[in-house]
Amino acid sequence: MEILQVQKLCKVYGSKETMVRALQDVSFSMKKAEFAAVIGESGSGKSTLFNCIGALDIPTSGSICLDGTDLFGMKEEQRTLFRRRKVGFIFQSFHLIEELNVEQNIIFPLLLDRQKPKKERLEELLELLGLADRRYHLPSQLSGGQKQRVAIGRALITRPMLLLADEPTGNLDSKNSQDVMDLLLKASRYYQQTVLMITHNMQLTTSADRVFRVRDGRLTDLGRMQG
Amino acid sequence: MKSYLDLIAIQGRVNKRKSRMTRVCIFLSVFLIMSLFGMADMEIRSQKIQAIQKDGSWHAVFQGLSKEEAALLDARPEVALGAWYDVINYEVNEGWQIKGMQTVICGLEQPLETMLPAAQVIEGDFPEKDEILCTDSIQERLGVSVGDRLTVTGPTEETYTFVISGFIHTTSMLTRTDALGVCVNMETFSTCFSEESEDSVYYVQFVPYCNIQKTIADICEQFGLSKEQVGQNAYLLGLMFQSGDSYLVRIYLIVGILALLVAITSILMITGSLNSSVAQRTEFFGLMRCLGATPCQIGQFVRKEAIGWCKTAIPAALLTGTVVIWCMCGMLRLLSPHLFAGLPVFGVSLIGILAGVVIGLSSVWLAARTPAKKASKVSPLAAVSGNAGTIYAVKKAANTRFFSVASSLGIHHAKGSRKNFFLMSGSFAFSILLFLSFGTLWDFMGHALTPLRPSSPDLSVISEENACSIPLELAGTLSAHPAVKKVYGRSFAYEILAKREGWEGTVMLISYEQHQFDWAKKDLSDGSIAQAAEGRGVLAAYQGDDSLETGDIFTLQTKETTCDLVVSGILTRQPFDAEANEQILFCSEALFQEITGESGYTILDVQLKRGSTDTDAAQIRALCGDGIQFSDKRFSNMEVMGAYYAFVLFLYGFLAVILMISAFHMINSMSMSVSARIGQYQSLYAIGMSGRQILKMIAFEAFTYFFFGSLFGVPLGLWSHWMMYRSLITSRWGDPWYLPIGALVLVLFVLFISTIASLLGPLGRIRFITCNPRCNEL
Repeated sequence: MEILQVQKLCKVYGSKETMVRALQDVSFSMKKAEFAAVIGESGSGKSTLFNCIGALDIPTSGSICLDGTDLFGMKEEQRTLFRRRKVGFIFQSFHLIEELNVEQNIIFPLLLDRQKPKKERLEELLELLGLADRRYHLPSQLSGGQKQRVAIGRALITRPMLLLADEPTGNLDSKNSQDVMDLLLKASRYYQQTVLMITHNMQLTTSADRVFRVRDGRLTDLGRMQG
Repeated sequence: MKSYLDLIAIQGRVNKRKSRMTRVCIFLSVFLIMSLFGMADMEIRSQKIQAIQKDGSWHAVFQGLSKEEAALLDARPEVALGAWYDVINYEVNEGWQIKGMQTVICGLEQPLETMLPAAQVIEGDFPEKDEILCTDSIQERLGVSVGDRLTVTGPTEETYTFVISGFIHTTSMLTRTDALGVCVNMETFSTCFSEESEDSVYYVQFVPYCNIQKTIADICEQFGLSKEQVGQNAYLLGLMFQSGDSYLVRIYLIVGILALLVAITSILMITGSLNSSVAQRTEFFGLMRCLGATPCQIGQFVRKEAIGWCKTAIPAALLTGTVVIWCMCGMLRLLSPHLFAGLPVFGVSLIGILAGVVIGLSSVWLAARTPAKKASKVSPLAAVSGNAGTIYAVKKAANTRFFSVASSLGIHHAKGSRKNFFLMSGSFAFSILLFLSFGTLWDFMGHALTPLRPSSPDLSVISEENACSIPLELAGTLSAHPAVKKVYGRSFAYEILAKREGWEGTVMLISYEQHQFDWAKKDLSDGSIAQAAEGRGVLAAYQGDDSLETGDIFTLQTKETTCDLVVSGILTRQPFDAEANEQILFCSEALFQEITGESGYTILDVQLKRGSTDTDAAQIRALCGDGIQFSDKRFSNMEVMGAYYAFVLFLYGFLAVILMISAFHMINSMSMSVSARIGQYQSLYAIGMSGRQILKMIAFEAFTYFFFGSLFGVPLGLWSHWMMYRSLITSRWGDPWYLPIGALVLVLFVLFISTIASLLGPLGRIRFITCNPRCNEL
């Protein structure tokens, strides 16, 4: 079952002499519970693709359908609500709210949706993330790996269909990087979530079901990488 | 944590220091509003106390009513109290006397005891039939007490004997006219003194919250009374905001405009502060958007955060405002214990508190709209793109052609964001506008409170029938008394037929001596005082006739001769009342004598030295001998001095708060601007800009706001000053508008100093950058 469908996606910045084609006719689709990695050099258009799929940025042309809904066929307010419920984000620099503890950071997206967090689901997630004993710690009291695990927890709490991770291991050592990858895989397998991860680290792509390469704004499907 | 909005409180607790400036802004704004309304409330309260003490608590007085009509009037639901009043010998010229002394006799009904301060019994009881109330001066002079008998003698030597039922205070009018005062009840009055008098008037006090002007109009219509038959306690009604007087309505309008200006200043200041606070948290709002917060939720977050700051800032401001008002009340009571005895030291101004809360909250709510909108427009990309923290999108490069790079960048920073530039320069402009507008009240006070002039006498010796009968030598005799500071006399010649080109009427000629000529210099709008003092011309008082100019010639026709007098100067102030088509001219004593042939004074004014006593006043009175009227104005002067102190305190206090607000706003804004750009300054330092150059850049930014704020504020403030001056002063006293250089220099100086002071905070931070170049957070 196809969850994500990207059709002829183009993104152009500037005009005339300063025009930059960040994405050119990008088309691909992803199935439910599929884990894909996007690789590419700096400035190749990976982040623009990430932003467009996450509905953070609006493409110049083309369409993105998530769970059969055209992301850009709705108004900003609706799109925000859709993103809140269907897409989870994980960033390289964690972007945790420094004033909130681990548990509060994780449940924050639910609070934005005026939902009451279910205790069992939170406990389960904290166990999965290995943060049960750190639930009342502030981000400043956590290591980089723990911070990223909190960010993953925050992305998973709403049970989104699509998990977008932008260089999630960029700021971590190899041990923590592997832990994060394991978690993302678990999410994909256990919660049946589709994961799209941007990375520089070729080693990490071996865990992915599919690998895409972005070069000069064009996307190529490299299939599954062999470990 | 149950809602995302709970994050506000959590962030507030953690980032107390970051929000401190905004909270202080709200505090100051509410404090300003609370002080304005609270001080105005206290001022009105004290003025009301004075007005009631001076003129009574009655609202309207009706003449020409019959007893039946008065009973009908009394039955109206709007009327709280009503009482008859009559008086004879009020002008002290009808011949009623007690033991040879002129006596004013009043007839009154008991409710007047609460409506007229002069009718309040201080000892004994209200008079029954054949009883009499006397002033305490009679008690002192004649040594009488309650139960004694007192005989009143009429103009035709008829006598009436009464039993003294009690005593009332001597009024300033009686002191001034040196007369005795007695009161009887209306029944006795009509039996003995004035049967079926048409001069009887009916005093009325209306119930609270009644529309007095409308009620008076209804009453006039009901009983067919003309406007001339109705008198109003105009000052008290004015203080109750119930006056229909067009001048008072204009004053209300100006007070309203000033309150609006204060509210706008507060909104500008809080908006500026919130904008900076939002600009510093772009990345945070971007993250919220990434996590699924809608623009509406972000807007709500910012608004709720702003309102949350009010929770501490508003009560603190109200408390401080109340303490300031307590101090003011305490000072007033200290300055004039007699006059402000009724003012509570620990009074709470409900109007001030209400205004502070309502205007404060709505200012914050309105002020938070723009930043909330701004925050809600933050793109979720701001969190992930790494461009967050940029205060505004730079559209144009800095112009480095005329200034150094550091200076150009400073100017560019100031002008980079139109909204921020408008808010900052606008605050400066508004401060100037507000200061100059309030400054008009300074001139208003100078005109409205007349006895404060240096020429105000403590005692006056007045010739009977206003003739020039006081010998010139008496001035020398009085000067020799050790308690006397200054003696100055004037001679008056009335109704001299006169004409000048295009005008024909009468002239009131008044002689001045050197002291009075010196005092008149302040009021000179055109020409010279010296010529008049030397007897080579006269000074003319401005009486609304714009055609009067220096050099005009008045031809005076006296009984003996005709003479031409050249106007050598024009005075803006008209110190004496003139009849219609009567011009007042001031000349030297020698010229007066030459024209009229009179050599005596009509009035001799005396100023006493500080610390002089009632005994001194009595000795001076004795020196004047008989055949004169002696007027002791010390008491009424004290009354006006009290009003003056209250007003001065109010005005000074308010101008000080305005200046303080402006200064603090600049310091606060620059501190926030520097906080927002600290990363940029670090980068600039890293690439070789010295700490001195960074400071120069910040200084140029601050002075750009100062420059443009002054550029817009000065003409706007002068225009407002001109408008208010014309409306309040020129229209009433004829003074031409003048450029308020003193006030302008003062406000610009304070703003200049606060601009410099605003650099002190950044200076410390720059030192920190240069010592810790790698620091990320300050």
